[in-house]
Amino acid sequence: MSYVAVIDTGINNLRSIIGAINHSGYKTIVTNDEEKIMNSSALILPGVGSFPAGMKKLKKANLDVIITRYFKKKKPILAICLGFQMLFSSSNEFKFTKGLNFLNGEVKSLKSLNTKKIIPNLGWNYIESKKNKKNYLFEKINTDMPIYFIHSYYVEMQDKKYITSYINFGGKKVATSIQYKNLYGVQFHPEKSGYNGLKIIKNFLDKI
Amino acid sequence: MKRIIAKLDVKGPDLVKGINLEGLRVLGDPSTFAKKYYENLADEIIYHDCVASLYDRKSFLNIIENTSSNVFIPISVGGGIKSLKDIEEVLNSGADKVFINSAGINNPKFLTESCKEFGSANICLSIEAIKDYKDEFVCLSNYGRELSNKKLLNWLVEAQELGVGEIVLTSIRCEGIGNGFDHEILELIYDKINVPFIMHGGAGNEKQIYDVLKFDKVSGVAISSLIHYSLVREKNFNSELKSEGNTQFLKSLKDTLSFKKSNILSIKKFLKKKGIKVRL
Repeated sequence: MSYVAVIDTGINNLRSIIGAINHSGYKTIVTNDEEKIMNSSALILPGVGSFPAGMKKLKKANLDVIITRYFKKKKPILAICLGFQMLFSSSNEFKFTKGLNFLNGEVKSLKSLNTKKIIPNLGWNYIESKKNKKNYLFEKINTDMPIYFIHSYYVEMQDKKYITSYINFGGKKVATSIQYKNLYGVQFHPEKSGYNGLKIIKNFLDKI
Repeated sequence: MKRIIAKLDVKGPDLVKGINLEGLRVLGDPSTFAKKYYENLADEIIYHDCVASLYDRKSFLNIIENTSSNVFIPISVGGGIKSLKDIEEVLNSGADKVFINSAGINNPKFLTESCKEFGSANICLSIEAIKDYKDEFVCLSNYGRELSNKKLLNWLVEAQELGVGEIVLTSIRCEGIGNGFDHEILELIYDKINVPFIMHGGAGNEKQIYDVLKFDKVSGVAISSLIHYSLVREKNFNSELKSEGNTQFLKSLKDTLSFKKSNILSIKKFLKKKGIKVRL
């Protein structure tokens, strides 16, 4: 039987993610168990909290290794918010912490962009997605619709070609999603972004 | 983009609403109201456990669970949050953010600890402000039941330094009356606001909402009576009653206060016409 595995990192808004996946007609299992994860059809890496706390929890459950194995099996992975940030090399939130390092990039405070915008970036932002047939997450999405964000840190990416959307944050372009092989990551919360968010999740699940 | 937030005060299994945080009337099942507001394009839901753990905490967590599985907008939860474990519990039930009042006043370090563990963006400070006998604004704790030693302006500045990612401020004297927001408070604190700021207490029509949202630093408004009273008066709206609290109002639908019949969608349309950016 096919199901979507949702990683349980302890501090998570899992119910809305589960609700959103069920809404698209898929079953979910919340688990950190290697076998259950490896047998799933798709993997969700959610995350609420600080980067060091998030990485610590992943490592404690050996999830850094398991997620890497899953990635190599070419099954779709969707990383959300802190999950998205953890895909990159490192972060300086509170202290220097290494990430999962799937892509080159540093997680930095939005403050370092020196804009006049209030931080955290909390609320609804218009996203600009790359118009590209292979930009799967944003297929058939009205990009004029705002998406919900809540973050104080952003990713400064080296591999810019994998970026699939941006927001304009006080005049600075901030990357808000990536697509790299079977790996999808979003800085925003699709499970909290109303009908358009549900569509993004459905688009991801269609990759199963 | 400005946020229109539906604030739902909860007591035991019921949605309730008072005046100046007192005289709570029972209005119905909270999840039913939340679902309706989501469909009506609310940008966020606030659940406030207004008796905190005096009653059964489980039923409150159940309400969050029910809502988060079919309401796909952010849910902010507070009332009785005293420990990191409490925060974890509500986040695991489906909340996205927590707001803290009393525990922050009693132990300001708790705010910093919470931000470290869960990220600043997920920790919101709730302030309940009232004028004291010296005509100065001070902060109350425990859903407006206790006076604290915190002066409004000082506390707002201190809490931002401690790391909170958002502030929602209730003006007790305006709350539940529908005569507009507290502009005296806004003027007092405006220059010191450095984080997303939500104004609560006083929304009685869309014009009054516009009057605070036109200020740059007001990120959104939290509204309750205005939308609740309109919703319970809708003919097709049915919400199951679970308790035997003060249901007088619900039976008669008679009110001495005048709230305009309204809903979130119509409020947003009005704001858009006035040039305020909202999600429509």
